[in-house]
Amino acid sequence: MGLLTVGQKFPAFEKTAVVSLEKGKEFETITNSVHTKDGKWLVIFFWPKDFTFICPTEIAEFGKHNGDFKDRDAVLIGASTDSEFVHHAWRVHHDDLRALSFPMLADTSKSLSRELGILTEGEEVCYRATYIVDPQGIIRWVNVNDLSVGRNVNEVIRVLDALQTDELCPCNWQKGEATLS
Amino acid sequence: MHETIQELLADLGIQPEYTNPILQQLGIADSKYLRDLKLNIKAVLASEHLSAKEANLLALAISTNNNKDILSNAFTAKAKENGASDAELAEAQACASLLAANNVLYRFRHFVEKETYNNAPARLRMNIMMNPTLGKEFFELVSLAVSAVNGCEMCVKSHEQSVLQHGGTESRIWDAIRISSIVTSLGKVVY
Repeated sequence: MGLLTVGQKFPAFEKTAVVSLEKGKEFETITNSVHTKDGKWLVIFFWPKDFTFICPTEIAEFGKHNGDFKDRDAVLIGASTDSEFVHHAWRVHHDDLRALSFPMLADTSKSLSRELGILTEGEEVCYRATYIVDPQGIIRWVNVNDLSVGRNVNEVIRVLDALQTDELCPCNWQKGEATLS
Repeated sequence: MHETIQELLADLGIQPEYTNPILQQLGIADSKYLRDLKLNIKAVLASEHLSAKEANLLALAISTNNNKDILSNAFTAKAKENGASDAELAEAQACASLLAANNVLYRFRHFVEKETYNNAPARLRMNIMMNPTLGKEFFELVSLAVSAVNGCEMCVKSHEQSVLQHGGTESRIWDAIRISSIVTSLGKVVY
């Protein structure tokens, strides 16, 4: 299956995620309505495997910017094909991940990653894919890096800003438009 | 204290002790302008085509655009009396602030008329325009009124069209412009 891209509907999903390290409150079920129900945007990023070297830096960087995503009415989610228990163990054991403020989604069955078309051949782990999905559930941006290439979170924010700053004002009249005939 | 000034302040719901040098001078000279101003304000706010709530929200947006705190407070109270919610009051003021930005930006584009600036994205958030609490027609009407005060020709032309497209009428537009002109003149004397 090919890569799902701009203009297509982001697939429906229902997955368990690690949302906290507090006992009894570690796990939550998250569906694709997590953002659409409140009219928010979704920023979801995938990484290949927990307990590897490049990922925590990148994930911590997304975590540091979660306030920027919240300011922009966007729900941030991180995901891989590891189970929620592996996610939980990784968060407990890694200093940079303990205080994460966004859910780590467990796509254990790989159904979401497969539908998105972001699994590597053979090992079937996720490429470093990042999606921006609008409040209507439509994919507005996708970026896929190969396994060894980390992401620039500021670039994700720049794209989100660009998508959210339509010139909605009728003052933005341009020559040839019907408005001022 | 001068009787007409007292009546003017009472109409606006401003405390009778309020004064300033300009108002004092008009009072000392018993200027005929005071009566005209008082009657103008009463007349424009009593529009046949705008509800009392709408008239006062427009007056509020113009006062905010013109940085007249005392008038913003007065028209906030009056709009509230006529049923405006906190969300509507906030939106009228937010609209004034956003349009002040857009008037600067687009007026610049219109003045210079260079492809470079016309095609350069503004990269400004205007998302409150999307689903306004006040409704699209009235939001556009407030936008038009603020643009008229700030003197952006193309903004005025495009928002005038937009109000009509959203079901507004020329009578409503004209009354909104009369309010904007008189609230601006009021701000020269009560500020």
